[in-house]
Amino acid sequence: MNYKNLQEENGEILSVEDEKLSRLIGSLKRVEAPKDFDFHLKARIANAKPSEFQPRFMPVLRYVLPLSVAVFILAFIIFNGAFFVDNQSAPMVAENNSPAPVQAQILPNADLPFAPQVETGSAVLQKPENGTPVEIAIPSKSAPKNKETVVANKSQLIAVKSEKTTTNVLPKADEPEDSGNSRVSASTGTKVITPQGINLNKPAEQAPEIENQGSFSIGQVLSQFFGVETLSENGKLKVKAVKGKSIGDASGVKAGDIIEAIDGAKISETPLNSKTIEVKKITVQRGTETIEI
Amino acid sequence: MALDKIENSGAEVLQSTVPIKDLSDHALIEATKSGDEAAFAEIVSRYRNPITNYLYRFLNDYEEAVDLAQETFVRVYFAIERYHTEYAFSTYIYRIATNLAISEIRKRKRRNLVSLTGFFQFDNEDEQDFHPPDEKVLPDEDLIENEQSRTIAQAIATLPEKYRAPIVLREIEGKTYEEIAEILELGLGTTKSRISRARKMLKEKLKKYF
Repeated sequence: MNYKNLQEENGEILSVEDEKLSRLIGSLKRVEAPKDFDFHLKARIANAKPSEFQPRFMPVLRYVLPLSVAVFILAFIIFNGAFFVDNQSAPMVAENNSPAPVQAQILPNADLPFAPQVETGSAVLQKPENGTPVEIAIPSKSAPKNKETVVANKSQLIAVKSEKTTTNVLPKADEPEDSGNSRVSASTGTKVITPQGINLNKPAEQAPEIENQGSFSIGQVLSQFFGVETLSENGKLKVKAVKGKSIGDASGVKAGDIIEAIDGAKISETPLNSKTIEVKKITVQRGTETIEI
Repeated sequence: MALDKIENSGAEVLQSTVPIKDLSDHALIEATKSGDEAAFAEIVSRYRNPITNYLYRFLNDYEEAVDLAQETFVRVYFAIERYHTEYAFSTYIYRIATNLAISEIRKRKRRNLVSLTGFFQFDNEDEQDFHPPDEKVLPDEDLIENEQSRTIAQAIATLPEKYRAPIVLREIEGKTYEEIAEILELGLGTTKSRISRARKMLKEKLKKYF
């Protein structure tokens, strides 16, 4: 194209240098297509596949679609895993192989939002040595109507909370008869087994209100959790009977023993207000000799 | 579109009173859509030289330019159903050619990078490929240019691609700013700015001619 024509068409005013540059570039000879251009072009068209010239979004979809489906499924699984609590899949036996002491956690009465399932008068504990279940007696008058079977080994923390456990436990007057609550938790294993549908966080919020409402005696604790029936005799706790297949029985406590101390601390019949008692050893007087069990 | 349909369906255009050479680009496109091979051949004859020249100045490689020019027409042929007459056919075909040329430049860059990487990875010199200098004869004597022309062509070819396309379209193909803006899908201001910048760079490269 002639430079002057181009300048006139566009109404462009160029500097002297730009004008010279345009002339220089315009002086380049124009090249033409080779004579066999049409022949080769027809051959290429004949050999080409029309599908090669289709829009290219399909290959993108080929990868993006499965990838997005996979991401969606993964997100669904993660979401459900994080927010869906499947209590049925929780183990019924909380295991802990570390040689931690037996720990009993006594929780005062609380308005737990679940119906207790404690079998009247008993809870089943796993025997310390051979792992076979043992039963702990619970006074029938304090046992709720519902039942719960709890299995734990010696290293587990056992916490049974029942409004009707003893007469010292102070239930709410307006609470229904069958609303006693049960709860078992592991100590060092930190696994807590609860009846299905329990929100563990909720009772903790309500606990401060009832913190000081209940108290227990050593005798009651021994009776309920160790199967050791005691009798207060001259300020000392005398073992009246040991329930068969109980922790007390397995530990070697016998009827007639006088329990002097637990973990080296002398015991008394004064009520216990603390929530947790750790039991590592029990000192008993058997006849004239003192035995540590 | 199958080639065997072309002759039959092109009868309308051939039988019309207007000679095929006088038909507009859009009319030829419509005839090609209906399978008229002669109409497409006319399009090729109109644009093969401008496109080849444009690509040659863009790439500074004649064989590559011819190859890409043919590829441009192949793409036009197979994508002709998607062509809309809302803008000029020349704009459409130059846009295809420009995109192909830019792709080719990028391929070259990648090839050079791989080649250099491979070169330095050789421990034994005997394993290196032997690349003799290209001494083939140019296909047309008209391509033999004097030194000034080669220098100018070289200066254009060394411009960054975003400046090269507009300056070639403007100074060699004689397109207006508006047409260039449409071909390159740029704003008018950007187009002018790039042409101005390209001119400045070329003046620097071709100082000895000023």
